[in-house]
Amino acid sequence: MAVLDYLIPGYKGYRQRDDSRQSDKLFRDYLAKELGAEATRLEQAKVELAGSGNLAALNPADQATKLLTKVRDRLRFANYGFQSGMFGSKGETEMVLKVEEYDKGLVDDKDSVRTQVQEIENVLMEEGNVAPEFKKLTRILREFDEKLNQREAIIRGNA
Amino acid sequence: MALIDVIEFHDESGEQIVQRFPESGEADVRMGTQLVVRESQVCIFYRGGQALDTFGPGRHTLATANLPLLGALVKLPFGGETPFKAECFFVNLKTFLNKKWGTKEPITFRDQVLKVVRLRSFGMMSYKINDPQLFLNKVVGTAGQYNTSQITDFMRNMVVGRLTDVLGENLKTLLDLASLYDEIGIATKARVAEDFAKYGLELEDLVINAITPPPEVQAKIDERSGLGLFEDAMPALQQQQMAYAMRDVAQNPGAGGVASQGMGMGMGLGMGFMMPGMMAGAMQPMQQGMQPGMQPGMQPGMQQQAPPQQAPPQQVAAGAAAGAAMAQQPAQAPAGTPCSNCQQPVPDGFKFCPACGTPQAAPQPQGAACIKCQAAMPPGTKFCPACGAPQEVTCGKCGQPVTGGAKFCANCGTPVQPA
Repeated sequence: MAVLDYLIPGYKGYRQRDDSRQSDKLFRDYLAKELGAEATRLEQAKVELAGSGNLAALNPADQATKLLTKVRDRLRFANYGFQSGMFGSKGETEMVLKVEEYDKGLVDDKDSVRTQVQEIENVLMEEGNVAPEFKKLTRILREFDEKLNQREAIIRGNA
Repeated sequence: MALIDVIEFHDESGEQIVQRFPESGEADVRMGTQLVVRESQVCIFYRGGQALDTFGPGRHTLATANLPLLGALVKLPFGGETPFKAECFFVNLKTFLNKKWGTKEPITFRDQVLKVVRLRSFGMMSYKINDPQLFLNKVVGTAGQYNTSQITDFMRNMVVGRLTDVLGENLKTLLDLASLYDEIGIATKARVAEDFAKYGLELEDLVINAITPPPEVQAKIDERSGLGLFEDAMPALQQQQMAYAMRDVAQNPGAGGVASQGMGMGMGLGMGFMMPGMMAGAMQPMQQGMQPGMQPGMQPGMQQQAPPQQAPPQQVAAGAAAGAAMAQQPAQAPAGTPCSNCQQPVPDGFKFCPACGTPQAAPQPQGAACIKCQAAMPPGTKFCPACGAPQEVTCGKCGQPVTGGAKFCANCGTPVQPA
């Protein structure tokens, strides 16, 4: 296949971009899977809340879970980065690489979510006031969600 | 037949969860077959009966032992069937929306206020496949197709079962339901989510549209809430009625006769008793601003000379009550019988006390009056419940019974001695 890089003009760039998109997709799927695991932990926390009769904390818990599910699905079904206006150009390659790099940076946000979910579990174990922790998680997820908006802006060349 | 197949799956109905390829017949996916999977799907590839891998979105080339052209030759000793079974199962990962659920039979619920209530509930849910491998192997098996109608009944029953649990654990009374709708929905969803996860399903939404008691219980609640509207205002309403009655009698002194005089006396007496109390109430804010030991009207620096000329509270209350009672008695009949629980007057014909809601006993039928004290007695009474006088006497001369307070014996005409 490497021979084709030299024989067909533009093929090398095409292949690079495609590889980059595929690896980015794999990475996003990994992040989505990790966030899915956090969502499962939150569901478990909700079961504990319901079991202990702490219905007041269920609303913020549900809000956080919904937002987490949304972020997970947005990651999973995010655009790959095909811009018809830039097809085959150097700009397209730069954009695809930039998106891939940007997505790698999202791993920190995923870690923040995990840390906060862990904190929620700790507070639940100590039978403390868990509602503020859920609200804090919601704030983290909103920032995460906003970063996905910025990702779209990069693809569209608005960033 | 093409040399190399292309396998893909389009869900036209929007309700199909799993589609096998080939849908029926021999599983003979050939070497080099191109598998195209959409973003909302995954495809699980089986070879030799084993689920080898789950393919995500994209185009994939499948490797099997079913070689094109040579396949027919290989099948010959096996009766025309390939021994190298290879098949694909597409699993639809989209969210299946608006699946309705509801209670087939009412749920019996122990209510702290209404005692035992039977509840009905309905709503909607949405779900999707979360773990395709698990779902396929645990639920679908080898079926060629699987759609939502085959699983929705099971899910409905699961939701109703868990809702019953959550209601029993968290709801004290049906009357609190309005403030707990969301929470009950979330708690039920959390419970059901665990059950669904066992089968590779994810419950995305669970909405409770209504939890309602049967119509007859609803009617009782409406009745109770109607009475509750007047609960706080009942004393004010009674006072207002009293004031109107007094005004009416005062405006018609001739019509009231003795009644209006009595009312006037009662009002005067009542007002006489009430005035010190009312004045004390009016002066209280002023007293609060004064120094200790000062009396109303004193200047700062003056000392208390004599004990305050104020009626004791009991006297004030008694006076007010007496005045009100005397004023009310001639003007109109009592508002009703007192409640057996709170002693508030219950208007005639009411089955429940408007103040506390306690059921009231049906009024006893009125019988004859006592021959001695004229108190009302139930029919068939032989002795007066008020004074104990026997209601049946015998004639002193002929010994015949004389009833109904007759003054002379109906048999011999002898005057009857009162009991």
